[in-house]
Parts: sequence; C-alpha cells; structure tokens
Amino acid sequence: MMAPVELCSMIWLRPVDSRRYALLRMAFAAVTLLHIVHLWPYRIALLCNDGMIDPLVASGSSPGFSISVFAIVATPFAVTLGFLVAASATILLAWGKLARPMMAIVFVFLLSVMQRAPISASGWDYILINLSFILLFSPLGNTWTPWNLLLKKGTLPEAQSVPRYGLILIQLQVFVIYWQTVLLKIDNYFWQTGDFMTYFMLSHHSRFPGSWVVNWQGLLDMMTYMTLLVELAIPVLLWIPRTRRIGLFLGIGFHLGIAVLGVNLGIFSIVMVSTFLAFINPWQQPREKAIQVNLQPQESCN
Amino acid sequence: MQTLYRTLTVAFACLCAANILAGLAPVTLGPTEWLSAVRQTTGTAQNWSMFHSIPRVQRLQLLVIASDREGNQHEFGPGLPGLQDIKPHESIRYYYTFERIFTPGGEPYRESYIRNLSRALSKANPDLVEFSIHLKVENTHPQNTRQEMSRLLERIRKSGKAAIEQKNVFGPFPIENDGAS
Repeated sequence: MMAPVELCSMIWLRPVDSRRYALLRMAFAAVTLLHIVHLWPYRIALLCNDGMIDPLVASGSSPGFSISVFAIVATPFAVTLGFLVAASATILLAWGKLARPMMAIVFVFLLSVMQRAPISASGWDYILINLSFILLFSPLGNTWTPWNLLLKKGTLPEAQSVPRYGLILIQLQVFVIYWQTVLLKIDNYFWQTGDFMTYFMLSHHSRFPGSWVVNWQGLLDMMTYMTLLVELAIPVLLWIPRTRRIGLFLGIGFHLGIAVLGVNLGIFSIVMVSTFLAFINPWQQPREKAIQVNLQPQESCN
Repeated sequence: MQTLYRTLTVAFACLCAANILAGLAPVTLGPTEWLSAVRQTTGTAQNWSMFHSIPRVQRLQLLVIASDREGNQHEFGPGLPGLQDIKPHESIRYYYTFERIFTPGGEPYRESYIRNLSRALSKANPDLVEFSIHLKVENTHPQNTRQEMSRLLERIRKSGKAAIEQKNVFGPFPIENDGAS
C-alpha cells in the first residue's frame, strides 16, 4: 500500500524532460499571439469606455472580483499599448526570455480582456486563461528557444529533469473540457435525436449555410453521434501511450473538420490541438522508459 | 527549503486538479458561491458548454436610425465608438456581443449600450433628438418552441427557405445634447 505522500510525489513530482514544457510554452505563446491578432480589430469597441460595453456592468455581471487592467486603462491609445505589450510578451515567452514574468503579463492580459468584455467571450478565451494559469506556476523549460529546440541550431542547452505536475494538470484540463461538454450534450434533446449537426449547418456558424442541409439529414445525424464519440475518445486515446498516435490523428482530424465546416472557429481548433502537446513525449529519457516498463498502468498518463 | 517547495507544489497541484475535476462532478458542490467567486476572479471557471444548445440565428444585421429636429432621418452603423458599420457574420465577436445584448438576460448590457449610443450620436451631430435601433434577424426557428422545432426541417424542405426574417425596433430613445444648441 502506497503512502499518500509517496502517491502525491509519484503523480505530481515525477521528473520529465524540460523540453516538453518548452514545446508547450512555445505553442501556447504562438496561439496566444494569434488570439491577440484576432482580437486586435475589436479592441477599441470592446475594451474602451466609449465602446459597446460599460465597465460597471461588466464588473458586476459575475460573482468574485473583476481584475481587469482595462478598467483603468480605457483610452484607445492605452488599450492599443496594452495589446502591443501583450503581443511582445508572447514573443519573449516563446523565446524563453524572462519567461515567468512574460507568462504573468499574458495571464493578466487574457484575464483582463475576459473580465472587461465577458459578453463577447468565446470558448477559446476560457481555455487560454486556464492554460496560462497552470503554466504560470509550472516549469517552462525557458533555457530552450524555438531556434535550438525545433531547428536544433545554435548551442543546445543541457536537458533538465523537472516535475511533471503542469503537464498532468493540462492533461486533466483537456479531459474535463471534452467530457463535460459531452455530459451536457447527451442531456440535450437535439443531440439525443441526432439533429444537432443539421441545425449547426443551418446557423451562422456554418461555412455553407442553406436549405440544402435538410437533404443530407441522415449523414448529419451520424455526424452528430460521431462528434460525441470522438469527444469522449480523444482524451482517453491521447492518455494511453499505445493509442496516442490514433488520438492525435483523430483529434487533429476532428478539429480540422470544425475549422473547415464552421466559420470563425479556426482559433478554437488551433488552441485545442496545441493542448495535445501536454500528452506527447518526443524526448523520453532512458530512466522514464525504465519506469514505464516497471509501472506500465500508472505511467500511462505520462 | 526543498521539502517546502515540494509540499507547496503538491498542494497547488492538488487544489488545481480538484478545481478542474469538479467540472465533471454530477452534483452541485456545497460552497458554490464561494467557489464560483474564486473561479471567476482567477479565470479558472469550468464551463465547457460549447454548442450544447442549438444555434438559431443565421444572420443578424443592426442599423441605428436617428431623427433631427426637423424630422429628417439619418442612418448610422451600430459600432462604438465612431458609429461605424460592421458585419457581424464576418466578425464573430461583434456577433456574440450583439446576440447577447439583444436576447433575454442581456438587459444591463443593452441599457448601457443605448446610453453610449446616445452619447456618440450627440457627439456626431448635435441636431439629433432621438434614435432607434433596428435589428433584423434571420432565424431558423423564431418561436423556439418544441412544436415549431419538430416541424422545422419539414418546413425548410417544403419552402426551400432555411430561415425566417424577423425585424425588431428598439426605441425611440432620446439623445441628450447637454444643451449644446
């Protein structure tokens, strides 16, 4: 019987290669920069005091404190400056320069946008905030730059072992994102009857809306049920090392499908696919391999 | 120091994991208000209801029409500041914003949007006295009742029309000119 302390250590503190965090940090920085570029045209309308959303209404719309720099910094020039600072922080974060403070700036920026304009928030805003919160307190592998990690150029830093808790938390987050949405959907009449995809393809989310949809109802019904199955399967397949490649193939294919069939859902797909990096391990160390051989069932989430 | 660091790390990881996994809890947890306040403050809420309910709107257009003292009408775009014309279908965030402002539950946002519109119109033309917001929505099922939904696909199949156009007018609302003219 394993003592709770040992169990906690095994779950959270087992060493992994710091390059795994470095890869995740770079991917997170890239998708956040993309998110900032996407938000750029809306910044004045959504975040300035003369814009569409009243700061007092926004801050009083939910329980808890509203922590938004845009509640103080509310002129067009200041908001633009805030965006430029956040964009610069993502670039420095990708390069591993002052990674922790840069991650803090990115987290505060994401939280500030969401708190100042909650009515405009989309699913990927929340995913990015949750990821940034976890990464803010996780190892970041900041000795690695995209130059030497991805292109293997320049002086390669020495690979370090760091605790894996950040990766496990992101893996859990991915599980809950997919599974909670399935649990909610199976309770909904239109997901139960299989009609959801038909309505989705009729709506403003569809890239090709129109009445043609009703002639393909059988196929769309099948796609509705397949969506639920795929969402249930992705995190499980990613979690088990032997099925990870299938999970990646299925997950990337699924999100590519969403990006193609839906309008303006490309960033959501990119954000979700970037979270898959928490599961993959291209730099498995001999020690980790040895542990995996000895502890196959417990190690399956690594 | 090492022990303290390890203890703090494990405590943090356990708390984060508990918060994340609570998103799958089948029952509402006890101190919900306290928990949602902390989650909202830190941005760690676990509401992953993406496409849980079916979308109804196929197209949405907004127009602001203001009248001056002589009764002449002037058209403006709904975008603030600057009253510019925007295309919500292409701009997903405007789309979300307008859809949420003009549906039940969005009243506080609607009131403040109307106040800001009034201010912007007054600045754009001091002769304007009142305005109204014209909302044109193409809805697949405008009534949103179960009865309507059960016949919806049949209706589309017969008519060949995927959506029904609905027009709503909000207003008129007065424009306060601060006694400028």
